[in-house]
Amino acid sequence: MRIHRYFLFVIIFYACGEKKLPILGERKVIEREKEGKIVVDTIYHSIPEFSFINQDGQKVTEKTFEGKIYVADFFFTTCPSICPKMKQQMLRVYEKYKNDDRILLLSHSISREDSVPVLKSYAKKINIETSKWHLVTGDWNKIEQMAKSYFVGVQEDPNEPGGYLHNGYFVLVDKQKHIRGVYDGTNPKEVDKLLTDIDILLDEK
Amino acid sequence: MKLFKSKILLAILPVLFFVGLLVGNLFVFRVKEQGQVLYETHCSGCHMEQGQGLAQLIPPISKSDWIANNADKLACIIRYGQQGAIIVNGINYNQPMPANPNLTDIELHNLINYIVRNFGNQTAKRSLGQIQQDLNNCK
Repeated sequence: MRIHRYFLFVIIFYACGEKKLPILGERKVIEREKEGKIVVDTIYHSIPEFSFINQDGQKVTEKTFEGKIYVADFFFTTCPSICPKMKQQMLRVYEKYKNDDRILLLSHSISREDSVPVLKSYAKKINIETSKWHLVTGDWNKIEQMAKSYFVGVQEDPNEPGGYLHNGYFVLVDKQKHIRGVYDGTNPKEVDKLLTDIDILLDEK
Repeated sequence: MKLFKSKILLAILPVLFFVGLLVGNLFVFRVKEQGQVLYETHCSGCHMEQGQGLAQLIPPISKSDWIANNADKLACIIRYGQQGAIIVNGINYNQPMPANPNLTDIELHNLINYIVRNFGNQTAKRSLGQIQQDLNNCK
């Protein structure tokens, strides 16, 4: 019996040690010379530089997220279909990590109508702190490009309710700007997984 | 005589079996009422599954004083949408609600009666005639 218990512990420890989130996206393997030797490097997909404006009119760039883990998504304030559900779920993430300054949230608006004051009033209504959760707007084409690098599809479509079509994904980005998970932000179970994955990522050295 | 009784029993058993099967099926495959299906399709995205709404952005459907006092305005709002401020349970909401022009009068009837009798609301049901009257009075 005691031996069994011992094995169980070993298995549990092993399982815990093994848990590591994958790095998503295309990767390239390149060879380069370093001090006369051939070194092989793997280049992972990573989030490129950006510059947008948040609900307080402040500039938000990739530097805002330096050394932080963050969750990104795409929405717009007048979106009648999936956004309220996404925001309800993102608020769960917000509440859980409100006082943890290793985590930030970044929501990109894909509507041309969402000016800074519109985002400000939206932020006020869902009662969030700018320093924790940036709602950003900017050049539409640049936002669309950013969406692509987060693996989120975004397009203008006059036939859609609200005028835009987009995925409700939450994208988990690590300190090195690598994407470590993509979750359906309208599905509470997937957001449960996001919350556990954030904890796993926080423990990563 | 004994033989006769057991024959009756043999005849009744399969009948009982099938009746049981039928009742079981009705339970397992019970049909959701149309109002609930419509709510899940057209409303729950914003007003949420339990009708709780979202923060100070989207007003709740559940235990709503506004619904209790304005059941005659529901048909218009659902069909033509809502603009401007609205106070629900003491909180001021100001987020446009989109129109649902594709819902028929009967669908509106089923949806409204689902809303006013669920989510903790206990407002009187509205007849189809009343709802058509409401629709005539839309601004």
